[in-house]
Amino acid sequence: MKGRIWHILAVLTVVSFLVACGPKAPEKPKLPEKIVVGCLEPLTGAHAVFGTEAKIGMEIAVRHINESGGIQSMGGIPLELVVEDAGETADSARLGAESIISKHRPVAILGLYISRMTIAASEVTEREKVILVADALVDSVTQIGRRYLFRPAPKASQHGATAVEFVVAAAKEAGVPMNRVAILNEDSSFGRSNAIGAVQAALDNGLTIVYQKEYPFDIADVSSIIADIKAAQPDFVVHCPYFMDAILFANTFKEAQAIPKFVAGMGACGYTDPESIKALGATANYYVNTYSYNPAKNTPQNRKFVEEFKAQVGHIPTEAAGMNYYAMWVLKEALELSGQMFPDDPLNPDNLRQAFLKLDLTSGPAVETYPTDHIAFTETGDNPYARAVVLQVINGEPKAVWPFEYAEAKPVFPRPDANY
Amino acid sequence: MTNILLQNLINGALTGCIYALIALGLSLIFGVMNVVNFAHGDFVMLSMYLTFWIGLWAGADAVFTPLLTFPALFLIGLLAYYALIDRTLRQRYVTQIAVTVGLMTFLRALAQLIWKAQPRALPYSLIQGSIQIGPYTILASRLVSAAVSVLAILGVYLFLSQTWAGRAIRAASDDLDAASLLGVPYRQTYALAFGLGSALTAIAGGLLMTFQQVDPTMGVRFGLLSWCVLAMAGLGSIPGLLISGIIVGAAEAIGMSLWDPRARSLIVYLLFILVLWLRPRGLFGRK
Repeated sequence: MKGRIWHILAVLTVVSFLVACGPKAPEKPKLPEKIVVGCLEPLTGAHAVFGTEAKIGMEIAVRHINESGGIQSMGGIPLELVVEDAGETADSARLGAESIISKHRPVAILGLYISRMTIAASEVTEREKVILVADALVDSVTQIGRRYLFRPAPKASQHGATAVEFVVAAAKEAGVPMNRVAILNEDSSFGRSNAIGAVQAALDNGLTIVYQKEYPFDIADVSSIIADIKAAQPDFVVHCPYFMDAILFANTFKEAQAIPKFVAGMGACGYTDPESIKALGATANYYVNTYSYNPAKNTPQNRKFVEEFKAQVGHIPTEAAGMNYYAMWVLKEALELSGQMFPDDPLNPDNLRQAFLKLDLTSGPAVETYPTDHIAFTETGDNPYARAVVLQVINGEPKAVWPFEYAEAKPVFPRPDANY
Repeated sequence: MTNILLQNLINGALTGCIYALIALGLSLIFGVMNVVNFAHGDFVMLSMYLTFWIGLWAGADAVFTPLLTFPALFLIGLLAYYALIDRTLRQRYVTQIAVTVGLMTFLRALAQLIWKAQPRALPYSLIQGSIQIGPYTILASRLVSAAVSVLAILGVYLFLSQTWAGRAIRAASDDLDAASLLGVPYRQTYALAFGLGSALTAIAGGLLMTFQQVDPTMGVRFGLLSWCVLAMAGLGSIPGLLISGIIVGAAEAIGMSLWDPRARSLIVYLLFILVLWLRPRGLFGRK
């Protein structure tokens, strides 16, 4: 009898011990004191000019978000921006992503401006389930099946199409026939995506493509290309340059007296950004380019951003800065929504992803600084309502001229200095 | 088609004269001292940035800036020689290469630190414009640049053949020991060659800035091109350098127009490999 009692007591002790050590119900993850967001941009090398401006755009956005009370649905948690240099190659981008994630474990990363670097880094962010809010415009960035990648800005082919559509519309307004087009692009996948959009738009509008060429962006002399363009006698040229080649083309068009009736840049690099205007002087006049950001959009948030950026940097925000400013606000909105939808675990990457997909913004700071008035995301991560704006250099200042409903000036069309 | 071909031949030949000028500087350095100067292209980049600075601050047209940048680059060349190159002359070859690669990296980083990554350009130069001859357009900036390059090359040729210092450089290049026995001070002669080779990039840089922009990564291209022109010409022939420069420039321009702009480097280096394969000492080389 005594033995049996001890036996029962022993069993009860073991069972109690096992129950005490057994699986517990999962605890609610504690929210951090600050939400870490990563800035992964090229800060050195050939693309540093873009990356530096992008970083500044993000810094100002984080400041504004924190000044407005942080993430309200999570008790006002502020954002903290951590910065990593993505370098200038796909390998350095991949390493940068590994580094920023292992060091800081951000809930999202904004970057990397250059498409091949973005695709490389997205291998890491996808594996680590970190949301990547991309500012790279090549179409293929959102065509490779990344679940945790979102791109608020209009993609490259949309830029190319916008350039052609602008010229067609402006030509109609001005009563000038524009039927023959030359299409030129630097030979990266970015340039090619722009050109594909331009070619499709040209065909859709019944234009004749009389010349088409790709060239390396670090080309040192373009006199032979311009001679060939002049020989083809286009009515207008649609051109996707990078930064340095835009300066070279503009100077050589002028020097060779080979300026066509219009030259429409596409893809937001060169011709109309502050540094190009400074480098070209009066030669920059009448060039246009398509942008994913409109610095002249007359809304309170945009005016605030432009003012602060100009005070800090000395010129109005470029596309890289503007895109990342509204991208940070888009992330903020997604975090707010995630906090509402998933109060128990809003920073879980799958929950945050769901929040991105549920976003449907038509007002607020993100929309106020966005080129159009509607931000939402498809399953592939693109915004179906994205459109580019067209800026033209008029008297040395870039002015928004398209779409006409957002224009701050009437476009100068055709060029008064055309040679043929 | 013939018009397009001839137009590109003209454009390329004019640009090739500037390549020849850059290669001449390298030829002086490599031919005399047997130093493989990987930083030579970055001296061109540096001179273009100095041209930009002078143009910006003094409002000077780029074509006149060599009056200031030539002595500046000469001094920088002297400094580089005494501080770095002189110490490696008796070292293993790989040490010399490492030093010049280090200098190349340093110049590139310095340029990015000072002038940032944005390309810099000067306002429209007074030598820019065009001359129409029938169906052909000759860009004035290229024509003037080619003419100045040829004059500079001629000037160096006369210096090397008519002055004591120039003959000393040639003697040191041919046989250093014999030249030393005849009273040629080798360190000063080497320093002069390095300084002069660097200073010639100032003329090329000023001319390039009349129609181009500069960014920190430009040095690579000019460095490789100048090696190409030098290898094609061979050592010891200044007229050969000019002809090789013109061949390279023309091949580049014609290839870009008739084939593909992305193939410009392919064409140049294929030509370079072909010449070296058929004639290892170059088309006009003496040694």
